[in-house]
Amino acid sequence: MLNKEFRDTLKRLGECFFILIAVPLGYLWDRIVVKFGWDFWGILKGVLVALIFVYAAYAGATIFRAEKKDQAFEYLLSLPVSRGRIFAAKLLPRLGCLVVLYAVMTILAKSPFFSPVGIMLAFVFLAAAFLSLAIDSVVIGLLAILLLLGLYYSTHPTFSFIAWNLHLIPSLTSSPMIIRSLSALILLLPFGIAFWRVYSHLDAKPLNLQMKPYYLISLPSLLVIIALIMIFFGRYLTMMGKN
Amino acid sequence: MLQIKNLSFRYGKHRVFQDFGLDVPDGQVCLITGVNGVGKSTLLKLFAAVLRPDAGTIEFPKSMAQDPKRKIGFISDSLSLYKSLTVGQAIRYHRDVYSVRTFDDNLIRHTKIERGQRVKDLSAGQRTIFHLSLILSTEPDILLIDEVIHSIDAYLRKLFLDQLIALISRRSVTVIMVNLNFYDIEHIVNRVILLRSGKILVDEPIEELKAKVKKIVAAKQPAALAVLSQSDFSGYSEFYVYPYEPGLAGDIEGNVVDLNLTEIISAFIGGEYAEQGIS
Repeated sequence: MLNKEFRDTLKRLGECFFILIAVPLGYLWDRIVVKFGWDFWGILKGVLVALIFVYAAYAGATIFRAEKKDQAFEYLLSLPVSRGRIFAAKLLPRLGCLVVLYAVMTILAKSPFFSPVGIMLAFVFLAAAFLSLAIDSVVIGLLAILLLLGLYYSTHPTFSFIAWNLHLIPSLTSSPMIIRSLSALILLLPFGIAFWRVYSHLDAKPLNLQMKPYYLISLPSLLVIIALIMIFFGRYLTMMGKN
Repeated sequence: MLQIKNLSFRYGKHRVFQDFGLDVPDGQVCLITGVNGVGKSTLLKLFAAVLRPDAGTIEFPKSMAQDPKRKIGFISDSLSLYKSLTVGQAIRYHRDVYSVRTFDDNLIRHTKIERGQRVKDLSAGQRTIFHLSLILSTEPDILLIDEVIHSIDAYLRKLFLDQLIALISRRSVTVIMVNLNFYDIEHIVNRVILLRSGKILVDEPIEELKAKVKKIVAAKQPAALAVLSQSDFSGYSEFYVYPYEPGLAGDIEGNVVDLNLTEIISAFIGGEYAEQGIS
């Protein structure tokens, strides 16, 4: 089982490598058209960062791609394997590959391993994985991840403001990593719970008949978070302006 | 004993089973049949635990209680497999999951299946044989076979059924089959279950069923016998009756004809369609 998932992980990574074509194209674009003086390695680094984010979204979103494409859910569910083991076999190779890519990126960029970029990467991967059962369309999946990413950027200032207001942190800019991590967690939690509810009760019925937890858990939670952002984000900006 | 108790199941708003019950003793070869959409495949999927009942329980024999799925071999009508894997990869995957070392390729070596071929490139018959081989390699105690045997050619079908008979006689395997084509399997089936509107309409050992369903060729409908369906011809009609009482033979003006399983099931299903005004 793990062998197959490793093969799938490498396949997905290979499919993402098409992005690297942007490096010579960007270089030629600069040389021939815009003449900004971009250097080849600079472009490569930028494209590698993009590749890692695309891979994080793609690897997460395609966690059940083989089952959907091959209509193999019935076969998978008929096997004497626990849901936890199936999920671990799917998650670990993808997560491992992402961690290696991210580690390479941090070494090349000489940046710390624990950084906002790392949190964002984990956020993108997990958000894509948690939506993988609910969304089939690549375009809708991409839009959903972008929406969540947008919310993530508004959530941590919102929670900073709430924490500061409750005297949990001394200033709006205190403990940014903890606040970012907590914000990501709060945003992901309703999707994670809905995903696990669907996944742990998953059977061979059409997937669209099994999506109730997303409607009952994720959607209301998302509305509450959006409401919090609408109430507090503006105040955060005002406070930051004053400071 | 495989037991279903008070089972209820629905697809969205469409109810398939309500308070459904069924017992299947160990070693029985059971045929489940009925009109399309009656829930035959759904019932098999519930047995295989790839569908979860909304209510009720499915109890497996005590010998399987710890990990029932390990002892169930299920082949669905959709021939669900990882089709993007090669045959060799699919064999390794299946063996790893079931922790079995050997793979009995007795069936697939009679076909032109090669281990480097992708599963998606196999014909429907080859895929069926391959899937059956995978399942048989794990030595299941319960075999659940959906309507797939018809897609195999006559030679392989016989080969498969011979293997099935050998397995049944060697290990007392319980077999539950969903079929719409009965000619090939008639000689291995012990019991016939006919479903109608999510309930059991007929549940009889095959020999008793054959004794109870008869065709009567006569000019008029035999009194005192329930007619399942009838076909009218010029001057005479064929009446398919159930339950037939041998004691009434003297009162019947016409010929009483024995039926094979295909004709029996056709009579039941034909009667059901006739009741719905479809003929």
